[in-house]
Amino acid sequence: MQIREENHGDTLVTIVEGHLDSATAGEFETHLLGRIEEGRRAFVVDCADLDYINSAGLKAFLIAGKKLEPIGGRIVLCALATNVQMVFELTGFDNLFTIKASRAEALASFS
Amino acid sequence: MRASLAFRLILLVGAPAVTLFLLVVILSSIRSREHVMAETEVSSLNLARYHAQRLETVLDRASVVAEMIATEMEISPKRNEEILNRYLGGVVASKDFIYGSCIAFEPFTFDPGKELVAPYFYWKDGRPEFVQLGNPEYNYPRWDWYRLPKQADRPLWSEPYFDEGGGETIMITYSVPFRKDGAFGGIATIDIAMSELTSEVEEIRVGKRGYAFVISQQGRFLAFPEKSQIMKRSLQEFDMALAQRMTAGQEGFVHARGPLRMESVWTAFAPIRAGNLSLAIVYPADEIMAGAFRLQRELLLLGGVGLLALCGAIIVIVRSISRPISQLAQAAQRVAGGDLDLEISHQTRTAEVRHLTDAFRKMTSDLKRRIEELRSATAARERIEGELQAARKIQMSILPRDIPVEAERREIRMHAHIQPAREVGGDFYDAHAVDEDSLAFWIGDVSGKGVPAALYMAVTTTLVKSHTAGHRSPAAVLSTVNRELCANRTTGMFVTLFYGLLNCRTGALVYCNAGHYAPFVVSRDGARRRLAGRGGMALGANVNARYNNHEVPLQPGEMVFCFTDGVTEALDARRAFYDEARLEEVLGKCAALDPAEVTRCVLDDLRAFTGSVEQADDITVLALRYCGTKANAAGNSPEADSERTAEIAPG
Repeated sequence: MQIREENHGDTLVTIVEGHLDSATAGEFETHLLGRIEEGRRAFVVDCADLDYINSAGLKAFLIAGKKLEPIGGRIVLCALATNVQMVFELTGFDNLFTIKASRAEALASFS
Repeated sequence: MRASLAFRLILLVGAPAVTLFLLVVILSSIRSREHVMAETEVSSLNLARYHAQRLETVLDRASVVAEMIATEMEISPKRNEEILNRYLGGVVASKDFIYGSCIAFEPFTFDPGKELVAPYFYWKDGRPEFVQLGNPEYNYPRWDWYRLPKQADRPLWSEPYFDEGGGETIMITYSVPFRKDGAFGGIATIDIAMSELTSEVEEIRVGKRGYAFVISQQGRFLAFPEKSQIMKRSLQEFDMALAQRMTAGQEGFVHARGPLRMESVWTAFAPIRAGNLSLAIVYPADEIMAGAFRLQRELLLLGGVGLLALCGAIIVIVRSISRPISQLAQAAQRVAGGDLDLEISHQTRTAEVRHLTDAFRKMTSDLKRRIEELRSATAARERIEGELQAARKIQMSILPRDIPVEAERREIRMHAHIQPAREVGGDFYDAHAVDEDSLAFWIGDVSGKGVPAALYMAVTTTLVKSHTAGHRSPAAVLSTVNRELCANRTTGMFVTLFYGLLNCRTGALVYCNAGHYAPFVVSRDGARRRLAGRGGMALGANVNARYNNHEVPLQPGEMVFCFTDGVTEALDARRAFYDEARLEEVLGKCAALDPAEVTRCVLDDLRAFTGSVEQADDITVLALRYCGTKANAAGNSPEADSERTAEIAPG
């Protein structure tokens, strides 16, 4: 699992590659929480290269989301693969997080 | 022993110290002996010079008289023999320290008519006595005392001789030539008796057995402690080298062979120029050396004692330093052997040893403490493991192995199996009879594994169970449980849950799926479908989540199969997923079997798939077959009748 970042003004685009499972979700969670601690509020998570996610990965998103909500922050996901989309739909987290098809749309949703 | 600190220190410190000490002692003893010898040399040489000088003075005084006479003959010749004799007699009479004097004229020079003129006066019986030596019998010109100085044309001392007068007196003659009218005129002589001189020398005593002697210009003894040797023996017979040096008129201090006792001696000698004599003072070597060697011996003895003291001191000091160290070393060995309670109590003044002891004590006590901590940590860990085992038992006991007694029904057969990834897990299931007709059942999966998931799981399943009786609508149950889970919860934990309510009379199944995998419905003939319809979001994620029910009628013989993602997301060695497709296929194969066998079938296939890969997530399966009542049992397979017995499938 690799994490890359790009800045678009106030929005932090985080690119996740590989698997988000029990082994790697912890690292991802620590990373997101760290950015929130630094003061970032607007997140776009680009899942174009995310191959797999399970409940551990979902947990990371959930914790980050719960931390952002009281301080007016937001996470928008984009470019989800079909199987990843299914997991979000299955657990109903597609209603919890905004999911866009492309990064451009995701960025646009912040302005 | 060789390598011990004490031994090595003593050796390393002692060897150079002892060597240096010995070196200093030996060198200084040698130097002191040499010093004594040098002192002896100086003082004995001075003594020899002193005595030689005394003799020389006497002889000089006498020789001056001869010079005087010769000069008188040259500047004031006597007219006749009577005047001549009177003159000479007067000289001799006035000088009692000479034995005799003679003036011998060259033939025909005093009186052309007379060939031999040689008046001679000598002391006899206290009066000067006259003898005319100019007679043909004596014929003085042929004698050495006349001839040699005439030839040499200078004054000469004769070799000492015995007086012809019959006495045992040793005489020596000094002959001085004089000139007349530019040519050789004659010889003036002085005879000196040497007895007084020699007796003075013979009385010289040095040390215990030291003595002195005088030799003539030919080396014959003139004065000697053993009187029989006088004039008979010469020094050359005893020590040639010494004789050569002494007759050559040298002075010195040499080692020689003593002429008196033929022993090893040291001799200080000095010349007596008047008379061409030489005087020697003799010291027996052992007497001289005795003093020097005694000093040297004393020094060596002192040195030896000092050396012993030095060695003793070194040993004592080294021991006193090394003993605490060797004690510490022994103690260290005992501690290393396991005796951690050893007390190190000895005191020492050496700072480094004290530091070492302190450090050692501290290390030992630290070690003891660490061992204690480790022991208690290990004990604690074993306790936790024991408690985890107990927790697993408790958790497993929460989950019904068998269908709960109150849910026991003729119309259904149910079997469930759970296999946690660790000692305790996050999957759960349960079944509960709501009323006479209805059976509530659910399967759930807490996000995560281990103790946190287990706790969350216990809470959730208890909540669900508590609300089961109160609500007929699965959606309502889940909605309530969700609100309660979300209250006061800021963790990211959530739980997916499938909750179903089966009317055992009619076969109507109402269900609400909160984020869980849609269960399969499998009919006896192998046909499979999924229980579609999302009931709502996973529980515990959002307090405002909404839930809704779905309904489906079950035909008798149809089986509901529920599972968690531990099944579908199991990995094999090539990291491929087990996947729903494969699960579906297995279900199709064992569709007609008993729920107990169905679950076993699925689990076996799963195990075959994963092989030796370690289980990553909790695995849970639940199979529930609606058998139908007697009333709608038509269409059941013959096995349905045997199932009518309320057999409970063991879990």
